[in-house]
Amino acid sequence: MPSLASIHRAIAACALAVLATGAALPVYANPAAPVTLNWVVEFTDAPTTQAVTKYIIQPFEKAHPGVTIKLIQQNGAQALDRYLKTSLAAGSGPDIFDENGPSWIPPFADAGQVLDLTPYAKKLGWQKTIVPWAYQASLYRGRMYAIPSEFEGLHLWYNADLMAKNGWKLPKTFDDLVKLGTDIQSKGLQVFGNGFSDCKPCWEWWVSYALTADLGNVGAYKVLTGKTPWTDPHVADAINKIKLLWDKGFMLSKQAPGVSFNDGWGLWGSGKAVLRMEGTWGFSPGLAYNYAKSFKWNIAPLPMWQKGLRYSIPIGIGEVDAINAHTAHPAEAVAFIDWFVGNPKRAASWADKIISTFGPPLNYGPNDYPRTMDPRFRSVINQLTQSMRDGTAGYVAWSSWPAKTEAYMWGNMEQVLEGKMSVAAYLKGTQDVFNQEKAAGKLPVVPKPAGM
Amino acid sequence: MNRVGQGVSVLRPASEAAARRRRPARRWLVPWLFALPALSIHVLVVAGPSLATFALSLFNWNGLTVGSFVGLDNFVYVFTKDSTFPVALANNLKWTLIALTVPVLLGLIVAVLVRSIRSGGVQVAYRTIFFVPSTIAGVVVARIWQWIYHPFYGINELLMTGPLSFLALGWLTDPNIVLYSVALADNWRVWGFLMVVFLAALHQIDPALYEAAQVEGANRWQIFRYITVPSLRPTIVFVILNGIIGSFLVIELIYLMTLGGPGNASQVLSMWIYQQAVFNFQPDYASAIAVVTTLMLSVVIAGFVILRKRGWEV
Repeated sequence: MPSLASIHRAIAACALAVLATGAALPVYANPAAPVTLNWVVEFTDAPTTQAVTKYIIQPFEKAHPGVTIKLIQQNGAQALDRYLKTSLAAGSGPDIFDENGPSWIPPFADAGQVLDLTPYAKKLGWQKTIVPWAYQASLYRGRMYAIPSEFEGLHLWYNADLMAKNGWKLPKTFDDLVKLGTDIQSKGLQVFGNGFSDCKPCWEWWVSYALTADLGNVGAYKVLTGKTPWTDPHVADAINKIKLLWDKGFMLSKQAPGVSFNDGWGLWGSGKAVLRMEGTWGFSPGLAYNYAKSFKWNIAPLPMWQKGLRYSIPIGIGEVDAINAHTAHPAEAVAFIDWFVGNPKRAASWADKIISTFGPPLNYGPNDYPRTMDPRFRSVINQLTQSMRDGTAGYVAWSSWPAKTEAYMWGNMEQVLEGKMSVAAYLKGTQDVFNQEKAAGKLPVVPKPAGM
Repeated sequence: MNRVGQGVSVLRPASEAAARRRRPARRWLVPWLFALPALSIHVLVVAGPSLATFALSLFNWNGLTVGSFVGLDNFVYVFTKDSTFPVALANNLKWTLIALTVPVLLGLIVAVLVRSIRSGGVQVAYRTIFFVPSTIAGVVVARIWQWIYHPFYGINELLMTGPLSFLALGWLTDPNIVLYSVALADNWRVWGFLMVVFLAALHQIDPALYEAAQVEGANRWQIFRYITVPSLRPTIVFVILNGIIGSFLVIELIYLMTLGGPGNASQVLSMWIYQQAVFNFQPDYASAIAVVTTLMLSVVIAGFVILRKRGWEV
């Protein structure tokens, strides 16, 4: 039986260890000299730049005297990734950077290029402020290397005026979707106004939707964790259904590969297309509000494709922010990261201003969102948050697929649709790439759904 | 007797030899010194990265973590497992065929016609009009032709209303024609530049040859075939060689208009290299494809050099 003195000594040692750990973490304090943090982001449009500056950067700088945030802007996901890999490999690079989702972070983590934020998450209480589903989805090998700074879900966007005028109902099943599409075409209109000529990766939206809609989130989870093979007949059925929609001409009469992303929005905005299969980033200033000025529009749940499956929204972490492991200002950088995820009420305050760019998945209270927020967006965001909380969330490729598997699937989708590659060969190729990534330990953390 | 004026040195023999050694050294050193700045830039920007690319192709590297040496594995993959590489190579060969025929013939024929215009002002006007597209940035060219080819707003909207509706094709969406559609946009931009190159070469041909031919009773076709074309041979060879190299390196309009789609129908080697490096996180494999492309072009250039050395006057 250990003596009381030895027990006291052990307790004191543990306390000292805890204190030492906390003391080892650099903590923000007013810097002695001015500090500039370089923050690389993937947007370049003026409305978002102005909004981010006004509602995130300036309030942060005001609350943290002596720290200045300098925006370095890259145009799009690929430009951002190229810039980061080049600059970090060269030993320079920004202090803080965006990336397009958790699945983009592993190469940086493996190379020791990003700061391990796990101790900060514990110290600053991020495990309480971030919705557990999203917290789990942001981990890599059990560690947090980037915070989730934006979450998003796929929905059905529709021209409400045209739907009402023609008496069309929102689809609840796959058969409803096919019937609606056929009815739309009979009026000489296009079904889905999505263009892919300059966004081949956008095909992964359809892959993400199909897997969730046809297998449910439990079935999708099993595929993404390797419990069910990609060559399973149910997965093949999901891909075949995408091909069916394509063969019926629902994707701009098979012209979608020749129409750009913005032109697709333009077709929807001009009333030539009735629907869009789009993510909540559509609430960005330059998209829905810009294109759909002449009619009423709304968004609705995408129908599940199999009977008996519980409704599941394909949800993902669309944007993460990480800190350069070699930053000269870790304390200030962590303070900036904490600005996003440390206080749900604060993050909610800018939600309607920087819609869909920086809306972290936090445990928001019922009244945290501003009253001026678009009620459509408020409703959807609340649905997404609730879905993550109750374990009914589905998955999207850019968040829950391993990186090369994701690239393989969107990269070969057009070949499948054009009939140049069979669905069986497509899924066999997917399985091969997935197996390689699994063997290398590159699978992202996929949050468990309810019922597993 | 003073023999200096007769070009004979009056120096002693040892100093003479030293002077002889110095003069050749200075002779070869000075040009190199003049070339050194440009050479330094070339080493830094071209040769160095090229060697780095070759070295990278022998590794397994994702661009960030430490790579591992794999020897020729990447090259073996290119030729045995990559199903897109042969598609891209075939598309590049098709592009080469188009690039060596359509714009070259058009440029040559129009240059000959423009050359025959007597009015200087009219000639300048035509040269300017035909040359302007080659001054337009690739991004703008791509956008112009995307609008022309647009399935809902482009030329098809006009064609569908008349007797030419059968020409309302899927210009950028039909896998059978997308490559040719993008090639047409590229040819539209390029042929005017080739016309100006040929025009400049035509101005160098001795007019006496044409006069002599006319005196001998040669018709226009015979003059073109036996005087104009042979006289333009060095220019034609230059255009062809550049056309082949350019065709294998083409990426701009493919990237801007189709990203290699739909379904790899317009995929080309440079686009595939880019996708491997950027989308698939495989700069090592992209380097291997780049090395293979370089080797193929080297064979072509070597062919030209060999033919020239054999007196083919290429």
